[in-house]
Amino acid sequence: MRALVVDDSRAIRAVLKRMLGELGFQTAEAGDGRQALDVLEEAGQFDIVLVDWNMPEMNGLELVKAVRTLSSFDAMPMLMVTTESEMERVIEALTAGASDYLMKPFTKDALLSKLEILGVVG
Amino acid sequence: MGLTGDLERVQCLDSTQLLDVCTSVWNDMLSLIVEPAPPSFGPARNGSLIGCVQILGGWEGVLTLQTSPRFARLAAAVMFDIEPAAVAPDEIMDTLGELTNMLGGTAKALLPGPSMLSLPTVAEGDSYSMTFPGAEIVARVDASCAGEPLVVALLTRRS
Repeated sequence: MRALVVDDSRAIRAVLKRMLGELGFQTAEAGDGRQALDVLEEAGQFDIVLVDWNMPEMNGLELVKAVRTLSSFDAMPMLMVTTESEMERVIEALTAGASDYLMKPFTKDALLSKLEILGVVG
Repeated sequence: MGLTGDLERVQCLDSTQLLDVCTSVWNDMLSLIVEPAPPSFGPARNGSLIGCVQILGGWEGVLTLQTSPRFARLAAAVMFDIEPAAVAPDEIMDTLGELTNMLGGTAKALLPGPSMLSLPTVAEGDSYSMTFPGAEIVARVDASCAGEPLVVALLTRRS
């Protein structure tokens, strides 16, 4: 299984990479939405893309919208992982094409639960 | 312990609620225990670091996290899963920024909204001063974690 973690914080990328590794994923990383698009163009489909919201250059919402315009990625699961916890933001992300939403701070169990709901694991 | 989601919002957080916010973030991301401590415990004994994030929208203010270089290094070691001695300076700043971001996001979920967070900023040094003109502290937590000081403060526009 392959995961792409998109977050401008190296610390969060390290935490997610470790949790995903323990769940059997090989993980690629990107520091913003634009880098993520480059990774997707080069590496193709991932089993799951985890996306922060607040990032420089291209934010997570813009990334989700951009990815959903690409027919080859329209069914790829994209999980928002963010501090933007208000219902208005959740609805905005889901409407834009995010598959589900995980609030920061998070635990490995919470991440696993979301991956199970999305049918990515188990 | 999760403090996000469908929670009852309040006009402003008090110190007990702010401590709950801190405990939630520390527990989930660092698996470390936060305990209340007297203000005299810290934070600036041998320099300190401060992270700041603005809350903008339905509630407007600033959340700050001040701690010691030793704790910042420990937190980075936990998040990067490396030995404290191996932590690089940019990893410390990144970790403090993200912890501040998560504190701000968790606090924001409890305050009137909708609001957005700014990108976090982090400063480090022995003699810096940081002021927020026109703002006053509405909640402050003095705490310790792993024997090191933490000060979390929430400021808003002076009424």
